Amino acid sequence: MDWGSQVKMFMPHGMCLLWDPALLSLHVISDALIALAYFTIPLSILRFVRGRNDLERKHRGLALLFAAFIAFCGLTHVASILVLWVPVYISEGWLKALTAIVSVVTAAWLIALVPRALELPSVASMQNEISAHRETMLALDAARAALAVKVDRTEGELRVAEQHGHRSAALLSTVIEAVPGPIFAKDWSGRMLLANKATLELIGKEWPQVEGLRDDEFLGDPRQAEAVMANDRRVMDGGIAEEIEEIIDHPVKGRRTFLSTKVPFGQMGDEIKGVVGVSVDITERKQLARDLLHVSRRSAMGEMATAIAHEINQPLAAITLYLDGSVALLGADYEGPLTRSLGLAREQCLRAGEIIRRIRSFVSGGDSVMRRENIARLVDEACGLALLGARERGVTTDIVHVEPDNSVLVDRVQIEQVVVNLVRNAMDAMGDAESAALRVETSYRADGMAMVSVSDSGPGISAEVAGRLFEPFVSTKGVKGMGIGLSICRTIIEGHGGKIWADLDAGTGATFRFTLPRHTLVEAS
Amino acid sequence: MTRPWLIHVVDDDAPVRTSLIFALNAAGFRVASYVDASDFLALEKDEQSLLICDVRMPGINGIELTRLLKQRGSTMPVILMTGNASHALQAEAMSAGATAVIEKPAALGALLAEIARVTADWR
Repeated sequence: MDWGSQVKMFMPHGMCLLWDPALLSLHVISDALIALAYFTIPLSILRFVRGRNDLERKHRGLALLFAAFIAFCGLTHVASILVLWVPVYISEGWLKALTAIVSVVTAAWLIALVPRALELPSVASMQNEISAHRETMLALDAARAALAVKVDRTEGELRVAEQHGHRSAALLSTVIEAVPGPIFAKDWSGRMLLANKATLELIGKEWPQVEGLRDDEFLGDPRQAEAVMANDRRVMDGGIAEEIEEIIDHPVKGRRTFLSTKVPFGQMGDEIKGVVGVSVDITERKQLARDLLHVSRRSAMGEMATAIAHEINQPLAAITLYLDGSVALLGADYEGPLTRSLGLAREQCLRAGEIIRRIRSFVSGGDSVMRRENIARLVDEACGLALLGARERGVTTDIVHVEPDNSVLVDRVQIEQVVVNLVRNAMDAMGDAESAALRVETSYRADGMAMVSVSDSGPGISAEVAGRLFEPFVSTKGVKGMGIGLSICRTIIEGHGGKIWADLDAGTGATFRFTLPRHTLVEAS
Repeated sequence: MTRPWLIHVVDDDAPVRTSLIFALNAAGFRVASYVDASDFLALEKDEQSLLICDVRMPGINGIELTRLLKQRGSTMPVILMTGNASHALQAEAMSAGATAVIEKPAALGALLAEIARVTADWR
């Protein structure tokens, strides 16, 4: 229904008030004031919403809705003034309906918001909170100030500790320098990190010549350097400390043996960073141990020789007496081949007794008969005895004298014993092999020693036995050998100032060699 | 060539003992043999005789036996035989009263010469 038809249909509301000027004025002024107030409130809300950019979107929406609701309320009061004179009651009704909808929506929203509004802190509690924050800030400031003081103090302490650390390091390096034995440290790749005076003396170098270098870069002997580096590597890889004997040539003192204790270093549970070691020069101690071993071996040999002498002399004595008794039985008048053969047998018995007596007196430090002998002739005679039965066993023998006129000062019986022993050993080693070849050679060496070599084509000797070959009771012959022969040989040869050793080539036989000092006649003037 | 003397042989080693008996018999001696010193001491000796004795024996050894005989006033000559005639042993044997020390292995000749020496003034 349009505006004109409404005006025609109804009468103005002023008529209900009988157009009383006072009553009309009261309504008009009151409604106008209410509408004015109602229009002012949304404007303030709009200003507030515009000024508070930090409002949440739904709060902003609520504020605007609230502003709209109040504005509509204001409009209804304007409509109330209007209908006093213009009877547009239908439009006023729709306006009220619209206002009702906005009001209801606003009210519903407000009801839903109340619990959340209750959760909002009150101004007092906000103020409490703010003052609590302020106190916290003050406490923080105080703590910061205290911390600054502490930092200052700690920095001071650190400076003191640093000075103390410098003093400790200085003391440590003084101590390391003062220790008479070598102390050193190397990094993971074997480069020298630290070497005290004794270490530098040991290798005959100055610190700048070794600093940051590896052993193979400053040690003279590459094989010694290789051995030392292999030891370092093993200690670092294994992570376990080791006590190792190491040999290093000293520029003046010659070859020295060191007992080094090497320890891997690095932090606990961390990777190993290098190796640190201390060494003790044990060259003299080792020599003393060798001398002692030699003496004890000689005394053990002496006891053994006495026991052997007794055991062998008994049957020899019996044989001799039987032979002499037999000759006596034949009678003084008998002259025949039997006398001669019995006499020869008896001579050999006495010779055997003589050998035992000589060895015993030798190993127990007694006298032996030293004479100038031709080593070639001596070897020939000893081989004559030792090679008995060799041909029958299919052994081809080859005796070579590189220098026939080769004189030595020896106890003939003893050296013959050594040759016989080596030759018999060689024959035993070859057993019943089809191609058994034995070679005996005499020669002399540039160092003034005569040398005798006995080589066989047997199976050679295992490395396991090789190291102990010359010790008593070590045998390669199983139950057949007592393992005494070579130890007696060694005692005899060393007693003559010579050396005895074996060259072992498994599969191609063994060669035993011994040396004796050559005897040169001083020309009579 | 039978000789009248009785020779006592004391040696614990049977082959040595029997070879001595064989050789001394062959040389014309009468021989009485004993396996050890106590065996020898157990028998009464009234006949002029001499003793050939090993030094190293279990129980009473040759030197102790010699000393024992001399302590009992025996004048029986004692020839000691040993496989190890060191100077010390010889000195000890002589001070115990032994007539001679012979080293094994010994030729019968050496033994006979010694026997001849100690029995030279007998009878």
